[in-house]
Order: sequence, then C-alpha cells, then structure tokens
Amino acid sequence: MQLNSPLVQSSPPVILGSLPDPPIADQTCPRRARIEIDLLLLAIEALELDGSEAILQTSKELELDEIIKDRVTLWRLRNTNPLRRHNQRRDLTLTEAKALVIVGCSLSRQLTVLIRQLLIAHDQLAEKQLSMEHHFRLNDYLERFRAHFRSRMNPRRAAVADNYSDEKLNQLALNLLSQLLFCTGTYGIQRFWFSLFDGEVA
Amino acid sequence: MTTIQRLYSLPNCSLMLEGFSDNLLLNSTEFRPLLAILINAECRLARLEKPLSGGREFLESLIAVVSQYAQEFLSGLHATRVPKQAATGLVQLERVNDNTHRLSLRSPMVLDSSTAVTAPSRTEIDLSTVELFDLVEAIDQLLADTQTLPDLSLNLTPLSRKEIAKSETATKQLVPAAIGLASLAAAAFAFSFLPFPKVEPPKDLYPVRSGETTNSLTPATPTSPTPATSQPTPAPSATASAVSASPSPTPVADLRKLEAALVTAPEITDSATLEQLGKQLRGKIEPQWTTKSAVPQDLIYQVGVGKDGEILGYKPMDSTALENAAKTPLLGLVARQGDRAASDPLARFKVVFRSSGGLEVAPWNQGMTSPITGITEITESAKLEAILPKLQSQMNQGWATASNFSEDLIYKVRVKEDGTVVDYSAENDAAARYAQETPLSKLGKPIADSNTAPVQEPLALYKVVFPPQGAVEISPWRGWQN
Repeated sequence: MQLNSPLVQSSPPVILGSLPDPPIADQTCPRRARIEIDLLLLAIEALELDGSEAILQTSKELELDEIIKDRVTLWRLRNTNPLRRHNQRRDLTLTEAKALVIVGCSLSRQLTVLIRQLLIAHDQLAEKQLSMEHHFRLNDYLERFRAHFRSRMNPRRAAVADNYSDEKLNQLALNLLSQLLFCTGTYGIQRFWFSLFDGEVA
Repeated sequence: MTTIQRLYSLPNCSLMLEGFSDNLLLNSTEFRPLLAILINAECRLARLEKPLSGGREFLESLIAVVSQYAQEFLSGLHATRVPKQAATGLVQLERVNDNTHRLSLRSPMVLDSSTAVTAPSRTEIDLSTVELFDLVEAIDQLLADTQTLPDLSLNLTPLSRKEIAKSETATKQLVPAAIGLASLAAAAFAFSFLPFPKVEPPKDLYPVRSGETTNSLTPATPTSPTPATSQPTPAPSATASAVSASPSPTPVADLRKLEAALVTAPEITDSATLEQLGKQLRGKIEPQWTTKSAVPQDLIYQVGVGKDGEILGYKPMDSTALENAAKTPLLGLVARQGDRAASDPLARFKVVFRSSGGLEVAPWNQGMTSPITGITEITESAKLEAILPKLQSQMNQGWATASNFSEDLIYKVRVKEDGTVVDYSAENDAAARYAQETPLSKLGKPIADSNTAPVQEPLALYKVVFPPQGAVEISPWRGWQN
C-alpha cells in the first residue's frame, strides 16, 4: 500500500481501456448519457441500502478512486445530470463517465440475483394481473426509487414533471431494472456504454 | 475428424454450436480445441418446443439482430439501419411492448433435390425481457469465447444521428431508454424488408432533443417572448400571460421607460420581504423562460419589483443583455403601471439568464447570492465578524498541522449564527481528497445530494483554507464588505 495516490495519478486506470472512446466531437458526455448514467446509479441505490457507499467502495476496489475520489466528487459527477435539482453546470468527461459506468455495471453484477428475481416477480404479477404491492421486495424497490427520484430531480424540468406520478416512476424504475439486468452480462458494460452515444455521433 | 460441440447455457436460453476444427492434425488430447467451421447452430428457448436452428447465415443473422436490438433496448432509440448480416430478414426481433420482444425466424428454403421446395414459413416466439437478456448473454458468451468461431466478435458502434428513427417526439426522448415508450417501436423492424427512404430530419430538431428541457415540441421562436401556454402555469403567471398576450410594444422604446422606474423609486431592503419577492419573481420568470437555447451568453438584468410582486421595470446590465432582451420573457412580464405612483417602493433583483439555460434570481444588493439555493444568507459585516472566531476555534481544535498534502485545501463552509458548521463543499481537488483529515468532516457534512432541505436559519458563508503548513485561514466567502 505504499504506492499511494500521488504516484498513480499520472496514468489513467487500466480498466478504463475496456471502453473505447466513441467518435464524438468534444470528448464530453452528451446530455442523454449524463441522465442515463445517473439514473442507473439511482436504481442501484434503490436496490441496495447504502448504494452510494457501495459505489465508493467499488470504485476503490477497481482502482477508480482517482476519478471517483469521495462523496463530494461522486456527488458532483452525478449532478452533471441536467435533471438534478443541484445540477452542476459542468461537463462529464468521457473518463469520468467510463468510471461511473464501470462501477455501476460492476455493482449490477453483484446484484444479479436480486435483479433477476425482481424482474421475474414483476412478470408473474403482471401475468396474474396483480399490483406490485403483492411482492414485498419489488414494492420496496419501487418505493425507494420514487423517493430517491423525487428528492433529487428538479420538478421544474419537463422530463421530470412529466414523469412524476407513481405510475410513471414505477415504469421508469422497472425499465432501469431491465437496463441493469443487461449490464450484468458478459459484455454488459460495453453494450450499455455504446448505447449511451446512440444518435449522438455524426 | 470429430465434431466439436459448444454449449452456452442460461436459464431461459441455450445456444449450441456444432462444428469442426480447421486443424487436420487435431490433437485429441487438446483440452479445448478451436471450433473454426460451423456445421449447425441451435438456439433453444424455454417456451419454444423446437429449437431455432440453422447454419452460419442463421447464426450471424441472429447475432446481428439480437445485438442491435439490445442496443436499442438500452438506449431507447430505434435504428433505421439494418446490420448487413440481418439484411436477409432471416431472423427478426421486434418490440411488442416494454416487456415483450418478438423473435421470429424464417425457415430457409430447402433446395435439396430430394424433397420439394418448401414454402418459407415463420417461427415466432415472444420473449420476456429476462428471456431476451438470456439470449443476449448466450450470444455474448459465444462472442467472448476465443476458442469458438474466433472470427465472430463483439462489434458495437453507437447509432449515428442519421440512423435513428425520428418517430419519437422530442419530450419523450428526454429520458429515452428509461422512459422508453414502446408503442412507437415496432415499425422499425417490421419494415426492415423495405428499402428505407433516406429521410434527413430537419436540423433544427436537434437543439430541442439534445438541448435543455423545453416544454413545447417545436423550438420556440427565439425572437419573441412566447408564453408557454401548454404548461400548467402557477397562479402568478396567469397575469403574466395576459400581459404578453396583448401586442408587444417595441422593445427599445419601452426599455427606457422601464429603466426610469428603477432609478426613481425608493428601495425595499427588508430581507424577509426580499426573499419572498425573489421567490415570486423566480416563479414568474421561470415558466416563461422557454427560449433557453437562444441565448448566446449570460444575460444580466436589474429587475425592479413592487411590494405586490409585480415586475415594474428592468435594466439590461450590458450591451449583450440589451440586444437580447427580447429573447427573455422580461418584457412580457412587466406589469401595466398606468395608475402606479412612481414613488412606490420597489425591490431590486439581479436576474441572470445563463446561456446554459439556468436562471438566477438574487437581491441586487447581495450581488451574487449563494449558489446553494434556498437559504437566507448572513451578509452583515458585524455578524460575520462575530461568527468568525467561533468557527476559527473549532477549526483550530481539530487540526493537526502535520499534513500529508502539498497544496492548500479550500472549502466553502456554511455556518449558523451560533457558529455551528452546517455543511461544506470542497473547492479544489485536494480539498475533496483530503476532506476526511480536516475537522470539517467531523463537524459538518459535505454539501450533500438529495436531502439538503432548504435550511430555514440564516447562514453565513466562509472560505476556509487549510495550508500544508501553518494556521487555518478563514474569511467571509464574499470578502469583507466596505
């Protein structure tokens, strides 16, 4: 542990190499990507009790803590999401985005079993035409997601205001859960990463 | 020569490949020989009795179609491009709804001379999202396997602007994947047989789709302050729309008159009233501020507001603000003031329309308000002076000067009047990194994410600097007045 941060600082973490730079002009994340990355992490937080601690812990394990240094940095990176109440008017660089995506996907992998269970439970409820309240764990996730979303997103933004009802937020939470499932896969990270830039390249 | 089998098995889907190695001198003891030539690929799905199967063409088509579909599923955007391996239409996948994905396979024409030519028929199966994922994952495991058909590999590229189906409306695309609306989707694949017309979407759609949130689907005309009628307007702006609905007077002439109001009227200085009026003002401007993307740079105005919250006048603070005044909703919001005495007191606010789309409203004399919204800030020098020693002693107590960082750690700290630290934010990288070593981490929390409910108590802002050596330096965040 002698090799501490100041030395590592110069070279970017190796793991970032798994995600190539997309051919976009200014090396910063487009708006949709910033929204989606933050929402994906929000869904993880709704699944896991201390999600933000897990994010920091995982970024340390993956040696991404030079980029995601602490809660403050994490908060700032996530608040590049324009829908946030405390939106930071700064860019999210590709490097920062990669770090967040890698950490998010890595956490989703740890949560694979739960994610699958919840999605399957949802299918079963839908089949029997039962409401989500019939599954405790799923209901719990949806409730937490709605609370997180409402406390952090700016209701003055149309995209937030239009999706503020319980019904819409549940749908959003379920869609994110499906996204998380795809992130758990062998090439989940890459697939999610490239999807962020759909429609953004020339 | 023996055949090699490879199985990629998941709960709802298994993919089995059969083939040969191209190495004739195959060493049978080799642990996992290379499968280089495919004879048959078989895809078993949980709810399908007979597996889907075929040769190389089937496998490549399956991979390409599923791969692209997965990407569209993730981004919520729909492609007009068809991967070249999928152009045969052998395998298709289309979205039925959020949780149903229809996979279909056209059985290839059998041209074997011994049997009659069978008419092409289709096998269809609806997959749930979990089943779809298992199919994607089986394929990805195959692609990742270097000992099986190594010429197949993951081949992802983002869809370009031209390759997106433009059927989705602007607002729905703001959070596309997440809030994806499935019903629009099916067409993209259903028409994949047809040559698709190259439709160049009008360029001006992009600012709306990728720009700041806008309520109208079409870009608002940048030249006139358009009342956003489609929006659920809060009570105060009902009057505002009424005002702007009448024909707008020419901006320049009117500006002069409006400026005059700012100069002559006595000023409201009571901080509680200012806060109240500031909120009202923001509530009026924000819903009307629809032409965000049209502002070339930050526009700063001084705005005068009457006791009753009516906007009485405004003054552009530089030439850009003057030239672009018509792009802001201000003129449309100014109240008719025929019967108002020029001597009525008014409150002055600084209103900044950020080019990034943001809006700032702050009492004029406060200059810049705290970037952290929703607090009343303590700005009087006497109070700041009184609070400072309380903060100083707390900082000194918890501070061991032996440090292992080499640059100043700079924090913005919010403090209650009694000296209690509420929260802090790191202002440089070093400060963020070493926050745990400073007494701040024990006294307050980082200016945190969600739940910083607006603090009711007035707060003072200080700049606290921990130098690598020596004593902590503390000063009011905005410097000493006077």
